[in-house]
Amino acid sequence: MLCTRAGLLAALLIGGTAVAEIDWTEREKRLLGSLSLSALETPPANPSNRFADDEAAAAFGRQLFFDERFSGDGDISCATCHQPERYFTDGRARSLGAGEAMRNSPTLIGTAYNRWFYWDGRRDSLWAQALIPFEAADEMGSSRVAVLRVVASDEDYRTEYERVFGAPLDIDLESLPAHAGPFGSEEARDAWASLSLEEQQYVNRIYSNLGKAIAAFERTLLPEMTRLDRHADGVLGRAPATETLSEDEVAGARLFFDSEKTQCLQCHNGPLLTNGEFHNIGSGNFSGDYLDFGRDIGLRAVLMDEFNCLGPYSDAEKYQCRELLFLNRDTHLPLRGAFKVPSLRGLRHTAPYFHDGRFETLNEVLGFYNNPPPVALVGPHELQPMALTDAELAQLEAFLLTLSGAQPHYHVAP
Amino acid sequence: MKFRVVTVVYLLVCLVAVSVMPSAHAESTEDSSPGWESVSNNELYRVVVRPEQGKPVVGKMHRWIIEVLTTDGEPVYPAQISIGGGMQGHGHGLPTQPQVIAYGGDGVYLIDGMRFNMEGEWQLSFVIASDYGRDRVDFDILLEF
Repeated sequence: MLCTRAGLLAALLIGGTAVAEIDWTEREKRLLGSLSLSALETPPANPSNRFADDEAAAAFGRQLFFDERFSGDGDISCATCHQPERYFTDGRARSLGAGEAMRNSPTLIGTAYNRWFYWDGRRDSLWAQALIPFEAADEMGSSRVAVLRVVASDEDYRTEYERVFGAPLDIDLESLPAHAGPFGSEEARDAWASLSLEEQQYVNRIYSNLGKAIAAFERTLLPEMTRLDRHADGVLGRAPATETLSEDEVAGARLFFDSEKTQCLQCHNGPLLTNGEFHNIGSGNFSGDYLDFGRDIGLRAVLMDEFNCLGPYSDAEKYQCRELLFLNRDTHLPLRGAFKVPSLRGLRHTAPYFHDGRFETLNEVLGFYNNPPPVALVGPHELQPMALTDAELAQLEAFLLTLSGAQPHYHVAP
Repeated sequence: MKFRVVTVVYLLVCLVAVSVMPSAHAESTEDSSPGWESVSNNELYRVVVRPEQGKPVVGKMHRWIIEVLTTDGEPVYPAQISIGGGMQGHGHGLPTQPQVIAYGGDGVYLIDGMRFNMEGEWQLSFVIASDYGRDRVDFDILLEF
């Protein structure tokens, strides 16, 4: 025993700064390890995008991501709602593009690990997701043919496209309407309907490649080490113990781990603190201006998407589309008003919170979990009241903030 | 000074000793694949289920094995097996729809698409239909991080 203590002391001394020892139990140590970045594997392959890990595609995608010319009015890019200096969010409750969107802009940090995209999971890949905002009226308000025109008429883009995808960008701009796409304005939709199937497929092929390049860039946006990660590494002997936690932070961690008192871990588990699935916490909007049924709609939408893993623009073999093949299609589950569980990393930089940005502070968020809305008012959901005191809620918040790095700014703009 | 040198040497010896001490985890012998066995409701089948590899995990999609025998020990083939389940304590089903993807002989079938997204008590149910009849078998599976 004496030797054990002395050994630990030596480990601390050799590591540099001695830090206070916290008497984590074995279960707590195991949980700390499971939440830390050291448990994060490299991003899963995306077989539907054969350019997903192509550096040239990522460099091209980065340029597309920041280019405002793709929007209808020429003043909105992907980076308008996913700002590198705000941890790739926009600080607004609901995003403001060409119009005000219905939902809060989620961070892109760690998005390579997502199985489903959008709060309702209506897309099954990052590249399929990236194609939506160009044509959404409240986002960039353009159309896929107009997007192709920008790329084809820019000499640098044309060269880059042909180099990355190994195919000529021999689009005949003269023969195509200025705007055409299945989701744009009425004019754009009519123009799209007037194109032949071959023309539509040709446009879609190039359009999907642009999405694949943007996705390759977004896959490079990875979470940074936080105080909790450094602490966990020290506790588990993966690195010198240089980071300790305050009493409140430790108490908050223990509440987070306490499945009797909080059940946080049920949905917020693993190194990104999300199980990646859809859960109903009673936050659906079934009336008012921002009607939102969440996963109930997203489940149907992802199956209909022509850009999904099983579609003609995917690079995957059918057997590789495991998420779609084994998707539980039973809409009788409590999916009405269910939303994707967000990561708890970077919360310091990603306010406001929830799918509609209804809460400006973590204190309000935790208050919601402490006293969830009555089932009679909002329909069935999975939350139980927590009955935590204000002091305990403050401790939980203190713990959650150990999962944010100091710097929200990712210096990636071209 | 001498005291300091002795202390440092002592600490280093202890550090090596600590680093080679087996941890409580290393002593665990539960890494082999567990299995759950049960007889179906109407006693038509004796069923064993287990993950294809190791223990069931939280988070990852993985494969399971189901062995279907008659209560007399005869392998059952062909059989239609439909899989369901969820967490009764939380009011939700399985996040995925697992399916039988292959038959390996001797009444053993391979299931793909299994995923558990949280710890706690999960229920798995299998409805088996074959020439012997249609019957259901349920399992409670406790998952811990």
